[in-house]
Amino acid sequence: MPEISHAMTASPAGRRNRRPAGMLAVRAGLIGFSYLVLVFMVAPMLTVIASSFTSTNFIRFPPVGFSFKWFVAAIQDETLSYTLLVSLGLATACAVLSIIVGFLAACGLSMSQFRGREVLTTFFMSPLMVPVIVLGAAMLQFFASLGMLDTVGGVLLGHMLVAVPYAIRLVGVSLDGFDWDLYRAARNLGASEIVAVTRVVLPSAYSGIVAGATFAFIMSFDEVTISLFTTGTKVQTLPVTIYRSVEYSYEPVIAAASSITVGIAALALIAIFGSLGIERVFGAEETR
Amino acid sequence: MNNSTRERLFRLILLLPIAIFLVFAFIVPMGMMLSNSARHFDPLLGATEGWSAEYYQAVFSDPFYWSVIAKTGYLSLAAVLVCILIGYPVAVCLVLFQGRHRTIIYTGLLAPLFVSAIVRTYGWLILLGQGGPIQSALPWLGLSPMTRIIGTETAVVIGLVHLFLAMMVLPIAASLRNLDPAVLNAARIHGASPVRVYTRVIFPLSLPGVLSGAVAVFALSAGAFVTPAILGASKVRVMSYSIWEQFSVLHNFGQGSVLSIFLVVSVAAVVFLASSTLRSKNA
Repeated sequence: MPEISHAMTASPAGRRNRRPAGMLAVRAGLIGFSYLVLVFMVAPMLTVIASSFTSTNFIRFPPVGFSFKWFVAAIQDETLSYTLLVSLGLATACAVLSIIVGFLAACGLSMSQFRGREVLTTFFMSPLMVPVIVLGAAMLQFFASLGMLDTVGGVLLGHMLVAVPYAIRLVGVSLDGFDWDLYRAARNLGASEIVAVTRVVLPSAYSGIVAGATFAFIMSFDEVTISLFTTGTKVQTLPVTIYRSVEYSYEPVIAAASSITVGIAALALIAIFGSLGIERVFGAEETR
Repeated sequence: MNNSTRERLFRLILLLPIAIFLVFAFIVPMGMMLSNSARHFDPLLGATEGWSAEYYQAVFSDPFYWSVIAKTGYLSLAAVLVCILIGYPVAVCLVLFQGRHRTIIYTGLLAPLFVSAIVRTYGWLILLGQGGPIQSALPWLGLSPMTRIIGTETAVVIGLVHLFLAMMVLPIAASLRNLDPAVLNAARIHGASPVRVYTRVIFPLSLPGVLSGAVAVFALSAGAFVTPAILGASKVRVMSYSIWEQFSVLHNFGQGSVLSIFLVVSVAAVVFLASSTLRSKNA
C-alpha cells in the first residue's frame, strides 16, 4: 500500500513541483468524502440511541428534553425484558454450539489434502449463498411437520445455520499456517486424538475460535428474518419483538430496547477487536 | 489399523457433526421446499399424493409476479450502482492512507455490521419518517413538505446501501491492495501522469474487486427482507416480501415455495455468471 500511494502521489524528478497542489486536493477530497460516508453509516444507530433519551411520549428526532425513563420502561416491560433474556441465552448457546461444530469441521478440512475437499468446503459455506428469507421459509415448512416451530431448538437451529459457516471460516483462517505434523508428532508420542487436538491444535486456533464464537453470538443476537418464521408466542427473540413493534407503533420504549442491543453489540465488538485487532478479523473476509 | 487409515477415520469423525447438522437444518428443509413446490395442497388434507405444476403455472402466468421479479432486480441493481459510486472512493482511502484515518474509516464501515438489520432499519425509519429531520428538510430542496419518503423505492435503496456498503468496499480495497507496485512504477517511469496511471492502469485492474463486490451486494439485496418490508411500508413489492406474504399471511406454501426457488436459482445464476467471468479474466 505504501508503494501505491507513492506511485499515485510522487512525481518523477523534474516534475516534482507541478502537481502537488492537485494531488493534495484529491487526497483531501477523498478523505472528506469518506468521512461523509461514515456519517451516513453511523447516522441510523446514533438516531436510535438519541431518540431513546427523549422525554416525549412518542419518537422525536432530534429528541426533546433528556430522560432515562424509556430505558427504565424497556427494562420493566415484561415482553421486552423477557425476549432480551431469550435472545442472550440463544446467542450464547449458538456461539458455543457453532464454535464446537465449526472447530471440528475446520480441523477436518485442514488436517490433510483429500479428494472432495473443495466440494465439502463449498457445501459447508452454501447456507450463506441462500437468501435468509428462503432459509426461514424452508425451516417453517420442515419444522411445522416436526412440531418444532416455536421451540428453543428450532430457533437455535435457524441461528446456527447462518453462524456455523462463519465459525468454520474464521477457525480455518487461524489454522492456515498450522503444521499438522505437530499433531502427528503428539500422536506418535502416545497422545490420543482428543488430547492431541485439545493440547496441540486448539491453542494454535485460539484467535479464530474467539473470533468465530463472537461472530456466532452476534449473528444469533441480531438475527431477525429466519426467526420471524421459527418463533411464535412461546419463544420470541428481541429483534422479532422490535420488528413487530416498529411496524405499528412509534413508542420510544422500542428505541430504548434497540439502543440496549446496540450496546451489547458494541461490547462484543470491543471484545473481538480488542483481543484480535480489526484488520485480522476482517482480513479473512477481504482475501477470501 | 495403520496410522493414516486411523487419521482418515478421525477426519471423518471431525466432519460428522457439521454434516449431520447441515443435512437436518439445511438439505432436508430445502428439499422439502422443492418437493412442496410441485405438489397440490389441500386446505384440510395438506400435501396430496402425486406431482403438479399448478403453483409454477400460477406464479409465472401472473403479471403481478413478473412485476415483483422486475422490481427486485431493479432495486438490487440500483443498490449495487450506488454502492460502487460511494464505496469506490472509500476503498481508495483505505488503501491510500495509513494510521488514524484508516482505522476510523475501517471502524465506521464495519462496526454497523454488528448491529441488527432491524435496528439499522429502524434508525432510517426515524430519520426518513414523518416529522423526521430529512422530511423537515424537504422544502429546502424545493420539494413539497408533504412528500413521503417511507414507502418509496428511494427509501428501500437507501436502506439496502447502508446494509451492504461494506461488502462492496472490502473487495475493491483488496483488489487495489493486491496491485503490483512494479506495474505502477513502470507506468510512471514511462511518463504517464497520475490521472493516466489511474484511468489506464489502476482502475482496470481494480475491476475484479468491483465485480465481486457487485455480486455480493446484488445477491444480498435481492434476498433482503426486513429493510424493504419496513422502509417500503408494504408498498414496494419485492420477492422477499411476496415470499413472506405467501407463507405467513396467505399460508400458500406451494406458491411461496415456487417464489423461493426462483429467487435462489436466479441469485445463484448471477453469482455463477459473475464468478466465471472473473475466472476467465484472471486466466
